[in-house]
Amino acid sequence: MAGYFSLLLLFFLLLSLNFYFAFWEWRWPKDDGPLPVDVEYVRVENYFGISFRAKMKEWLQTARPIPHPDTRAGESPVRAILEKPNGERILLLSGGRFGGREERDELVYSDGDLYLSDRAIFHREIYCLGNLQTGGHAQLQAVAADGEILLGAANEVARWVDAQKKILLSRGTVVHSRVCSAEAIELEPEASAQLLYAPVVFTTGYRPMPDSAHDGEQEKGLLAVQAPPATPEKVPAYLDPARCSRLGANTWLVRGDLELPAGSRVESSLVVKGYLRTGPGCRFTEPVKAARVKLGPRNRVCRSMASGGSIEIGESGFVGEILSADANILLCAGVRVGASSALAVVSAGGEVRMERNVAVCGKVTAGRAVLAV
Amino acid sequence: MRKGRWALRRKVIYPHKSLRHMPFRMGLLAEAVSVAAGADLLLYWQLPQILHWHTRVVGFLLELAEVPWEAGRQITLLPGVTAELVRTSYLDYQDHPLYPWYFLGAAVLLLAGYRWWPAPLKPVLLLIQASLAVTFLYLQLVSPSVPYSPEDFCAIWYRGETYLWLLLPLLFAMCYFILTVPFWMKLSWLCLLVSYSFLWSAVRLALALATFHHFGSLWMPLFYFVFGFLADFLYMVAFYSLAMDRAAVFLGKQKEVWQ
Amino acid sequence: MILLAAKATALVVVFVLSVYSLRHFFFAFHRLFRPQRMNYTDLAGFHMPSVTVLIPMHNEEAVAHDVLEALLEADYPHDPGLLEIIPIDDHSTDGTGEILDEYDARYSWIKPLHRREGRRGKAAALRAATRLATGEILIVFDADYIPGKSLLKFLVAPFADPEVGAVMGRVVPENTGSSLLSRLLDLERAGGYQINQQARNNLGLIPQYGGTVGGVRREALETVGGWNALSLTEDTDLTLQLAIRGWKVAYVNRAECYEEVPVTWAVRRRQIERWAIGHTECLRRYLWPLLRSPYLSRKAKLDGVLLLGVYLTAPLVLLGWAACVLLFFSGQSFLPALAAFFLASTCYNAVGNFASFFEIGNSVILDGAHARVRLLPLNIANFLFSTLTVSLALAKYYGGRILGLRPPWHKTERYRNGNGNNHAGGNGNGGSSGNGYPNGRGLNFIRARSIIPGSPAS
Repeated sequence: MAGYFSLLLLFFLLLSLNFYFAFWEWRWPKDDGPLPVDVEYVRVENYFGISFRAKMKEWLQTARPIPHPDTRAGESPVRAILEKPNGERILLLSGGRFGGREERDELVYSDGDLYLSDRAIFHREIYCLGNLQTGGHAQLQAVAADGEILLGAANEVARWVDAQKKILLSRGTVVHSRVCSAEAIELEPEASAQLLYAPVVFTTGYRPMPDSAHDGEQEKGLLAVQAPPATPEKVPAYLDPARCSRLGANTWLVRGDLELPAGSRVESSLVVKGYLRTGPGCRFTEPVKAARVKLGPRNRVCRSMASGGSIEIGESGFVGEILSADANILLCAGVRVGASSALAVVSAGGEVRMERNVAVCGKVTAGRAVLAV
Repeated sequence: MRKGRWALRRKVIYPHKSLRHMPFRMGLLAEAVSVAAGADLLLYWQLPQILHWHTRVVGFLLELAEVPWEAGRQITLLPGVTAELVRTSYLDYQDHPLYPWYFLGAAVLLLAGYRWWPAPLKPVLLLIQASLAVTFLYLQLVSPSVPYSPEDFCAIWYRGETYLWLLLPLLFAMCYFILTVPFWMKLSWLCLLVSYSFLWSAVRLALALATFHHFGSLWMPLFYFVFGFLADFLYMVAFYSLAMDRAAVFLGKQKEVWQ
Repeated sequence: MILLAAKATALVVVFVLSVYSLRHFFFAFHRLFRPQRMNYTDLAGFHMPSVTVLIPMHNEEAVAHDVLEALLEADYPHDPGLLEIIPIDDHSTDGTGEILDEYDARYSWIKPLHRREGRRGKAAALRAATRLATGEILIVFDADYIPGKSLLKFLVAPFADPEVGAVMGRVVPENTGSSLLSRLLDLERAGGYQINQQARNNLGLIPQYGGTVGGVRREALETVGGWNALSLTEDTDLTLQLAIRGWKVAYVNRAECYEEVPVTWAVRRRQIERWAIGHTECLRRYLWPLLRSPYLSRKAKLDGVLLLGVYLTAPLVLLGWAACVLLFFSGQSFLPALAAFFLASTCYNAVGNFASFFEIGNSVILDGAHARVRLLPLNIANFLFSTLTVSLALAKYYGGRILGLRPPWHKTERYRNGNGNNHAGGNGNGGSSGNGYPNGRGLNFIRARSIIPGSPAS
């Protein structure tokens, strides 16, 4: 039987091999802590800029100066070079200009205005205390400035852009991550980013105050949400009783498509399972959702609008709070979203396309890209 | 450092809660399907050889366990794939009538100590006891022997394992080859898994036949139900968990964290 | 005849379990390869309706401080018109009531409700509190949860969509190091939320509202007649009722909150029993209304049926085993069905009720963890344990129905602050509570450990 027990031993050896590593991890754990959930986390849209500025200040304290090896010292704006303990270098500038086709691997810190000429390539982040301007076709990692940032035509930024003042993304410029400004962001045609956040994000042609129908007073008026009416007993006139039912006390659900004639006023929450189309001058005082939306010109959505598909807001339309679509959003010329007193969001799973003279007060974000057209 | 136009592109984005797209690519799914198909074709081509070696290993282990055996009949498992079975014998309970009672007694004793077993083991041990108890009842009440000879058992085993071997690359490839880790790493794990599967199958079959020879057919359902497909699933999960652990470590090293 | 029945049973079981297996694989692949629906997360902080937070408490003196302190730090505007907290002292016999009164005296927007009469239980407590609540959105936390600062904003964001009736966040086990069971449950939860719930949300199916770390729109709740106080699982009950009446349930993976999971197998057994019975009651009550609902798509109905029937798979597995044993002893084991059955049944839910091993493996990758996935083979014990427990619970339930008995409601025990049996908070003994779970792992512990892993990526 010794042979049999040898075989039995081999069997148990191989069987226990199935559990060996599991047992080891159980008894002598390497990874038994809870998954990290940061209970202190508070969402801040311009987190990257804030964090980078703080890091840069820390590095400036801890990095040590090294001899200036730049052979082009006479023409270079670099005033000094610091080296961090991990070997990374920081170029110190008092402002100035980098020449065309300049390629740099170091972090850059400038305490004055900085200009990067055409086709410059900066592999690391730049922090500028003044204004920053670039020529055409520059490639940057990330940029923070305490002044304005004017990115020239066809620039490409691998990560983020953050400024205390205005940001301009010139024609064809692409930012692969987010763009944040404490003042305003302007997009020229064909400029794109994944997320934009500022008190006002606008496209070329926008005039802040007196433009068309959207002055300050009117804006307040548009935002004022009337108290929902007492539970309506009857089906509103604009709904087909055969295809609608009450989802909640103040919410109607429409099966199939819905086409609203010009000037309709919708005063209860509305969920349309199909395609929602409206004529000019309609007004929604409560939230609206549809599988697909196409609003006519000068429609007013006082609260939010959502869609499982795409949304098109017609010319000179207005949305007060939130515009959210799983697919694409098109904001036609003259559209306004939100107000300076109540920031709003435009969020699409696909693309957000903004035509001329479109302004969003708050955040514009898209799964693929936010694009000025 | 990379220079030029693509210098600023990130190679890998580590999964993050706020990302919209996971770093899994459709191309990798195609890779998984191709690898599974390729591995299955290779296996199918080599199956007669593999089964031949499997039988030789089983024979060697039976000799080690002092079990006399001889080559049995040949069965066709799949078109063009035949396997030679192993013929052994049972312990005859008519000559040794107390054996089943010994095993039943041991099982009852184990059951009496049920509350002191480690909790995770309880259900597994209960399965072993249940299979022994059911077989005992069958042998006492229905028939003095189970309906299969050891050779039949061998045939059942070969059939099941062959199907499983062909399924294994598909299962593993679909679960693992979709990850963004190097191809050599994925292939190594697959080879290791398939090799282990052959070896582990031979050891289990040899032990089953040796156990039937030394202790009788009471143990057959245990080897069929608990150490059959259930054990196969166990090593699949074990290999998968280890491979995922290594993949997670690899991906962790690629992680892009704000420095 | 018996053999024919056994064969048929084995094949039916194989079919049902294969459907569940395919469902797991489909969810996992969809989660990994298709774009995620993240729009609701983008809205966090921009949509801030009036909110009432409801916290049912029965003898929760050990944890009451933590949850209230955590909510006091929430970054939701502390404007009485926007935020109101109603902790519910539900027939407590310890110091819970006094603790709540302390907070009541200090903060005008914390309005405790003391219940001394009427039916006990979470659903009844929520029903009573909902009558007092003024918020447009009702958020529910269990007393042992510790919400993060931004959690409320993440949870209310999806309500900007007027079709959303309820929202569920992700629960993350906090006491993972306490026992093997808690570690296995950690894996199961990760797969269940990170993959399963998110995939259902992406696919527009029916993500499950879990009764805590979630919220419900008051208007939607009123439509379905409020919390079902007769249900053992008022969360599943509400999920189904909302879905049947056309409301959507949304899942927000980013809305994470720590929870305690059972540390001992005895507690786990009671928890599973309650879920199994509650779920099966919902199946009985809502199967036909679900199938007949005009608001749900076919795929959502299928998902709903599979969700409702998930606990029935445990007795099905046992039935399949019985059929296979019968076939084996009758010399029928050459049937491919027999082989396939074992593969399907073990593959199906070898590692939990809502997550297969594949979902768990990928969730570990997505969560950036690693070594914990090695525990997967040990989950076979969890699977066998759940199968037996659920089967027994359902047998008890159906037996009780025949006898006209109602199943009792068991409160899940808390382990934090040495409160191993839920009635010994602050017992002053120090050390552990007898189950290896150290004392004092409340809000301060989590804060101290809290680090910012990486940064919010774009």
